[in-house]
Amino acid sequence: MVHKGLAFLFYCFLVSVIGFSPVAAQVDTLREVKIKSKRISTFSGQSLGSAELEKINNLSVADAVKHLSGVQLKDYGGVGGLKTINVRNLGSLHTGIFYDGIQLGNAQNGQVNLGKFSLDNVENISLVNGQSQNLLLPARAYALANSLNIESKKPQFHDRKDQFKLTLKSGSFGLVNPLFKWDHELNSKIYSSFSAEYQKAHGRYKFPEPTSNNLLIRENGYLNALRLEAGLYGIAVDSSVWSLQTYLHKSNRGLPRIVVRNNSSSRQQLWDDDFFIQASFTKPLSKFYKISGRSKYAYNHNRYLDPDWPDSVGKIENSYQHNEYYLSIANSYQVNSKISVSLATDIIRNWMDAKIDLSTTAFPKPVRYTGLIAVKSKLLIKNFDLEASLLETIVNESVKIGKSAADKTALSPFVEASWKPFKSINLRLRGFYKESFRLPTFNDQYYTLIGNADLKPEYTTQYDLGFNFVKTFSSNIKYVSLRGDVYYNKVQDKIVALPSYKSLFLWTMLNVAEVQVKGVEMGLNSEMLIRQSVSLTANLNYTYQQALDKTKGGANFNEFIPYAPQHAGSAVIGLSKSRYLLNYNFLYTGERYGLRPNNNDGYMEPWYTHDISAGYKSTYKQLSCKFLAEVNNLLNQSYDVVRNYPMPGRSYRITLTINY
Amino acid sequence: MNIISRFKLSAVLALVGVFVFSSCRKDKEAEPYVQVTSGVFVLNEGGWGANNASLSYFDFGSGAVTANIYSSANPQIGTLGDLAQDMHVYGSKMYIVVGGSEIVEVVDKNSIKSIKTIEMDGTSPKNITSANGKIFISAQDDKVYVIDTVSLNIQKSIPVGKEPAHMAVVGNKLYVTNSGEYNHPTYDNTISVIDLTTLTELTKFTVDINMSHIEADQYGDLYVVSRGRSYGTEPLVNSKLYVINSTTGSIKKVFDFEITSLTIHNDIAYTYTFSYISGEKSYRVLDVKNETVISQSLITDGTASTIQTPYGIGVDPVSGDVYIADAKDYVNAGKVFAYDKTGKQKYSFTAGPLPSGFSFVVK
Repeated sequence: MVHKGLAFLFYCFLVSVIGFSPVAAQVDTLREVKIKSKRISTFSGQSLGSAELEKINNLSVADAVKHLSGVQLKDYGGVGGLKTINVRNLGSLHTGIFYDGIQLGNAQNGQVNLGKFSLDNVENISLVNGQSQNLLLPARAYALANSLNIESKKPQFHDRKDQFKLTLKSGSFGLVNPLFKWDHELNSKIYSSFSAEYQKAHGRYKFPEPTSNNLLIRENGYLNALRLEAGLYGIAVDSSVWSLQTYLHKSNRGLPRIVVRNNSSSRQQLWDDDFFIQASFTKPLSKFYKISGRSKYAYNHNRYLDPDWPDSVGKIENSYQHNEYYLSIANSYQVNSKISVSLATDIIRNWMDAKIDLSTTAFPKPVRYTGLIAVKSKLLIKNFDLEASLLETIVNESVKIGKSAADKTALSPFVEASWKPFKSINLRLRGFYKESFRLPTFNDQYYTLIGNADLKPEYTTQYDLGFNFVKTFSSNIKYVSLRGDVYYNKVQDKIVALPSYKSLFLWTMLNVAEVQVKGVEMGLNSEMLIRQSVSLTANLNYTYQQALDKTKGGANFNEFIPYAPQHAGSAVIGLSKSRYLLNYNFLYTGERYGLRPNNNDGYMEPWYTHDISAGYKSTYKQLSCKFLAEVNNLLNQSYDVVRNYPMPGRSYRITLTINY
Repeated sequence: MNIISRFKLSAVLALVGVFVFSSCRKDKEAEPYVQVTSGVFVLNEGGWGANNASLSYFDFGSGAVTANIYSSANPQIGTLGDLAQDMHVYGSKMYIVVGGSEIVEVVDKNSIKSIKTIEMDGTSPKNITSANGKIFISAQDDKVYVIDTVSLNIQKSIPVGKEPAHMAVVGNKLYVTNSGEYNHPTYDNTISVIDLTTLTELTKFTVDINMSHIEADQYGDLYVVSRGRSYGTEPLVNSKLYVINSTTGSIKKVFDFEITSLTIHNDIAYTYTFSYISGEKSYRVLDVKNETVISQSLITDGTASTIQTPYGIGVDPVSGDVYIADAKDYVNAGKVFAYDKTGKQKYSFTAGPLPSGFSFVVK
């Protein structure tokens, strides 16, 4: 609490001193790749704008990212189940999740649950393989292998000072999900935005028992969550922009048990409180020099309860709290018409404390300072772009009790080039090389009896070659856009838990595994008029990959790593005619293994789901209404994304949105 | 529509078609069922939550392994379940304790066809033995369950100490080690003595912390493994082997070497050690009549180092061969090594994940 108060004061101070402030520097980049603009993307990545997001049956950011190629969403099932992103099989901790340009950190376990981010307040989601081309990126954006950028919705004020939005969602799993948003224009330069959302679901669904096919009920998947978000946004005369945002998410959920023969019930619960306040600004200081700053304070508190632990106390109750202070300054300077350079410096302070039952020692209360310095230069000659950057990471860690991890320093290079070979053809060839790493999490290092303070970072190397092609037509077909990539990734010193001796408690984290991923991704986007006023949009993605265990001397050398299908694909097809919408989504994940040995035991069947939705929009003066009905997993396929965590079968959802 | 849009549409349809039709789900191939003649069953515990416990059958005649004979014999059920921790043959039936699934699976000892699945009412069963026409199951809820072998129903539960584990029978008494394994660092340090007629606890013997394996010799003594305390901030305590007088509960002898488990065949105890503390791996042979160490190593042909993670031990009552289960990395398939009485490796074969127990088919 003291921390929160201090942080708030600090931010008030910061904002008042600077006098103007923030906004995601990401915005420019994102605009660039929006298909609407028909501009050709020069970097390796994909995005889903609000038009695309509207066509996907979804509740959270997690549902949307499944439609990006190269993405595996690890999903434990149901409304409340943990959902994390894994890009090109590097592992979920190698993707940085950025909310309005500032990373959502989790020094404890590195996992960011994308199920927490409701899509109602999201304008754009983009996945950048390698690195975004924006010059004013924070140094943190250079650090991880990939980044997923979530951009919150910004209002467009026309002639009214206030805008209201009310959304009601309801459907299967006992879902009740109201949302309210109020945007207010304070003056021509400043506006505020406030939104509140509540989610409640019992989370129960039927699933067939794996062998007998008897229908069982998935229990303990309930969710109660409240989200409150408020922001102040401004634009100054010199075209500088600033923002100040706060975010609070409180949830309580059941943790359903892994399903095994005759046992699928659990009473484990998790409470999460996530709070952050962040500010950012971008300001041109001259025609050639721009500066941007970002800062953040985040606090997370988690409580876990297992009321059925068989010791004499009869339960396990753990609590974890961590916080983060973050400050970043980025500068960009345009040297001449061909060359621009940038320098970004970030400082992060992470702290964690925990009270862990069964723990034999007091928690070490680690504090980690991370300093990041990134330099980048960009060369632009006619149709040729060349970007190179170098990131220096300095980590200093200390603990109150016990052994601290050693200080670390590392250099991470990145090079990207793109070339438009023909003047009249909108084709761009591009490629990048990136080295990056993820630090061991606090859990990796300090978790009782498992943690290993001697862990090294986990390194990744990425090579990518790709193209983007866009053709616009003056016929019924408005445009066709194609994207293709071949890539080769390596993960070295991968951190895995290995048993030391014969004991449940004596597993230890070690840097032993190596993974090699080769893949091909293809994407196709198009919009056409089928008949007068009936427009069809299609977004198709396909990924082929081979993610192999290359651990030297390992028992599974050259076998597929768990949860890495060779084939995956998706299709989003939307039809619209004036007020009516009809959407079809298809997802396919090929066969894969859910356990380390590639044998019958761990074999997982392919799954493919068909979702459809139909909507109707109507406007009356300043009031607009939208009604959407969705059927998910239309053919009621039973499948697991994570082995022995069954996913829901056919489900329904209706959404009513009123804008005023 | 012009040509391009037609092309586009058909491309869309083709792609969707490829996804839908190329992806038909295939069934897992089931292994063909093999007639059991003369051989050994290996119980594979499987990984936690992996739901892949299994029973392997190694045929002495053909030298062939049937990797998952339970699934082959019971395709309608499929998997044995999660964490098979013990098995026991009594009469014509084999009883398999599946802890994570909270069941005791009763199968025909030759055909391995399921006869009954006994549900443990929400507690996790641990170890098993039999006496006087009853089956005894220790369970995580600090009780020993009594199963009637005719009705195959739970007849009674007997409260004992914390987290009871292995059991041994001497005369008309059942001895249960109370491990207290979930109560680190204090554990439990007692053996419950149960009267087999009244099915009640008569007394408790206090021995040492964290006891697990218990075996009776033919002279009325109990051989009990105390696993000690291998982690935490409290002082570490080595594992030990105690010899207890089953009538008085007094400690006759302490073998002060690290030990994980043992099995007794006639007058010989075969032990193995995989120390949690030092990592020591050894296979000692004891004389239970004279209570002495016969040999520091059962294995005489230099193959001991090929065993990565000893996880179970058994003796073929006919040949006297000793079988050692190797759990390897606790994830991949384990292995079984068979040694003759002179300590020479006879053969080895692949088992399932985490092999831990043996049951020999005696015709």
